[in-house]
Amino acid sequence: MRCGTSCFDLTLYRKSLTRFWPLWAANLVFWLIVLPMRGVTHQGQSLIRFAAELGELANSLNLVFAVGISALVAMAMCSHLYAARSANFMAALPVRREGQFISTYLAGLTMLVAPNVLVFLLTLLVETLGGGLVVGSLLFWLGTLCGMELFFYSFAMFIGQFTGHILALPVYYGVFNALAITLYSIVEWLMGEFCYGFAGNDTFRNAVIEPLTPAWMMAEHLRYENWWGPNLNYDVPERVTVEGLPMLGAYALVGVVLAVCALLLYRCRKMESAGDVVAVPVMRPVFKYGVAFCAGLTLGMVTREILSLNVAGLCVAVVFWAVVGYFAAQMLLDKSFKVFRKWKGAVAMAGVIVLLFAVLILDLTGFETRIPAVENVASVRIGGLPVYPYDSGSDFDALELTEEQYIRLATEIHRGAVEDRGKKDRYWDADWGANVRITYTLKNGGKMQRRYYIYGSGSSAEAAEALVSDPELARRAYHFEGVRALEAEGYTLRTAGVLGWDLTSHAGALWESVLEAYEKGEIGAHSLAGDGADFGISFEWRNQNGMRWSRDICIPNGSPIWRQAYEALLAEYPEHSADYEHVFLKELDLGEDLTAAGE
Amino acid sequence: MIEVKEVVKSFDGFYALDGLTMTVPKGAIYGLVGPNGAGKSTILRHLAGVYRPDSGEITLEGQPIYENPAVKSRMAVIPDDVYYFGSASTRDMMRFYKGIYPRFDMERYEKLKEAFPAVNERHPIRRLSKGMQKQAAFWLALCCRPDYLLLDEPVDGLDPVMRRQVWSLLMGDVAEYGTTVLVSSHNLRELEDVCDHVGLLSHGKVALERSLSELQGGTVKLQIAFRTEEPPELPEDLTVLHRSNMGRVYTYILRGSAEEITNRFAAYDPLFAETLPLSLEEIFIYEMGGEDYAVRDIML
Repeated sequence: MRCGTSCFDLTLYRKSLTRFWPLWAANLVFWLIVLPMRGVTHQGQSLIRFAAELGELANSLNLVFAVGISALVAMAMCSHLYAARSANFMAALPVRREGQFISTYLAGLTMLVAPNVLVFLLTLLVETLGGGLVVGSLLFWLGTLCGMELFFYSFAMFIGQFTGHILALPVYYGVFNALAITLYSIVEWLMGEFCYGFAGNDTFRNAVIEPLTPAWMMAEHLRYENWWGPNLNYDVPERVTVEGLPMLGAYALVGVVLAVCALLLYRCRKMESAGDVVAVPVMRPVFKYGVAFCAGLTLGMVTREILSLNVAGLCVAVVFWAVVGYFAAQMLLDKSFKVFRKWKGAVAMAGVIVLLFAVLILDLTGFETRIPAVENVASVRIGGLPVYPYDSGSDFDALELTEEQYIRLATEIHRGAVEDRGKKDRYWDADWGANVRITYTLKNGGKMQRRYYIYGSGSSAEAAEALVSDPELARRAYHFEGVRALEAEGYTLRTAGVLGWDLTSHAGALWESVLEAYEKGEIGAHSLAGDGADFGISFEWRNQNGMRWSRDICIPNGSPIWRQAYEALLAEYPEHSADYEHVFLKELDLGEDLTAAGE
Repeated sequence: MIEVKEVVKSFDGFYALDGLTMTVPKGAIYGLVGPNGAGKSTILRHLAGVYRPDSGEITLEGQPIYENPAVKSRMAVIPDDVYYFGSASTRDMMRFYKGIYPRFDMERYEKLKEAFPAVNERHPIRRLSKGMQKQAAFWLALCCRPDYLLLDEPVDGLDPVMRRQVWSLLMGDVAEYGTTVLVSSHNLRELEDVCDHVGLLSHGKVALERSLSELQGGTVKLQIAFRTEEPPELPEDLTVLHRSNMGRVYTYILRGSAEEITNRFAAYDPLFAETLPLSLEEIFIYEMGGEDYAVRDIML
């Protein structure tokens, strides 16, 4: 294959650029205004501050712009496929399909990237001439915008090969950008409605669902952040953190892969599919049943909320909307309203949905009553318990419990929750209620997650109380060994926060007192729920890179540590004693001791 | 030469081409005729490399056409519904074709301005009338210097003068450069004047493919009056495409040469017998009658 004639056609490339010049012109004008022209005026702040903040501007603006402009450019580059006349015209040209696709694809990419590069250079010039050059911020803007556009444009071009209708492309593009997370959320909600104890699967969500939602991932994880420390003019950030670039690089690579897949589809494309909602024949049933399924779930959920339907009503709503979606999809495929003679598929689909509901409602899989045997569990994590007092020692969520006695307690909480199913009057009897999540890691490598709302009375509460009051678990939660390890790595104790006041010079002494009190058993006891204010001291360690680590320790009222803290405050902030004295007097039960200390 | 062998093409279960086989000799002006829905436009799109057949083979001088730029660069196509870029003028399209077709002839482009005086090359083509758009299509196609020209209803929309102009140009190219022209049209009277080969399509197949002279020489209209009241039984080996009578004068459309038919009917010692040549339109109508596509007498 001679690449010169087969892989790229300069005439087609140039024609694509000139035909759709309003797109790249609008792209260019927009960024010219946002970057170099604003740089010239820099809106009343210093140029260097403006330049430094461009990276943060990119956080909010780049993604939205990239998603939108990429779809528009892809629609333009694929537009010849969506009308019979233009499709036949292009197919009759003496240019191979690869050449047609690559030429138009590169034309679209040029429309996106070339204005960005030009704007980058102009902004660089403005910043350099104005003495406010911040290259990193500008490079972040350029790199992330180009990376996003490469991905979203390639994705849109890939999507464009599946349809022969120009309006279908943006619809599919929008749907597939959000499909994974939307569908997962709806299924998760539905399972939660039907399966008592269903907790979702965070691992699956984080590992699979969120990466399948690139816009979400980029919004959550791609970040440029200026840290403005105290300096003379507040123009230069103390430091800058950039996150998510490897992720964006991975998506850019995926974009390249999608472009190759789009090329392969283009090569096989039947030009007679121009005008069809689905251009690839094998995807037609996928489209039909996919639309039906999504319509059933989403509209069924909406109907349920509007009409406050019970479970049976929800089932009927889902089936109804799935059938409507089925025929609507068939109308789009056939380009006709006369589709009701193709009712057999709808009936079969409705039957499958009803069967699925039956399995869920009747718990035919045994999901709701399944409790793992203690000997089959390698470890367990329990989150959501209302541990009192609330400090670093109440962070039971982070504890991975491997001992048999703790696993047994966890299964007792689980069993109590299963037995409580359907007991709606429990709420009024209990002192407290909490959403508790239990995650088992089984010895066979599997995971089992459940979520229950448990009440402050009954076997679940008793087992939970035994768990949170265990001093060994509190010790693990406080993780004092971790503090020693950090100090060995170069972290030093910087401050102790008391009632919002920083005690720097007394932090070490207070920390030693806390450790001593803990060893004596005077602090660190926990239980479930509780009322009354929690007062504690927060300790913060820092290293030379500015990284921070903290521990919050709740100190009981009347503890001698409060006296020590009061004296430290008097020593460091004597002029503000009126602001904190009343707390020690009234809340912390120091009364007479305090008066004596003041004298 | 274009060869089509056993090509099958279906659209959603409907067989538009059902084992179509045809041959377009090099340098011929080949007329493709057939009733509506016979598959003419479909086969033309296959020949242009737009569609890929489900099965069968389509070659031009032994080379496959589909996805073959070397072959397609020697071919120009004018479909029934011509496409141009959005607001492109003839001049814009000229620049595009010049970049795509390696043999595009700028000199010819300038000379052909005289042949198409009504077309303003700087006006957007979409603002021109249908006939002018067709003229622009011819103008550009001829400048590509194609060895093969595929035309679908080419003179539809052109005035009589421009029709003659266009046919004159085409036939000039055929005579001078040996251009092969494949034209699909319902205007059989016009085709009869220009074509030297004819292919008759029906139900996705070629029902008949002959040179025009063979076609016209192979079918005869006989008007005859027998001596007897009733006409005699005709031999079974005589293919009768049509029979009608007005009183005792019978009209037969028969396959065979005029001489052969005359000799065979002489045996009946008729009162009167005369053979008449058939026009292409009449041959089409009577052949299609054999394909169950006859003119029907409908009482309203």
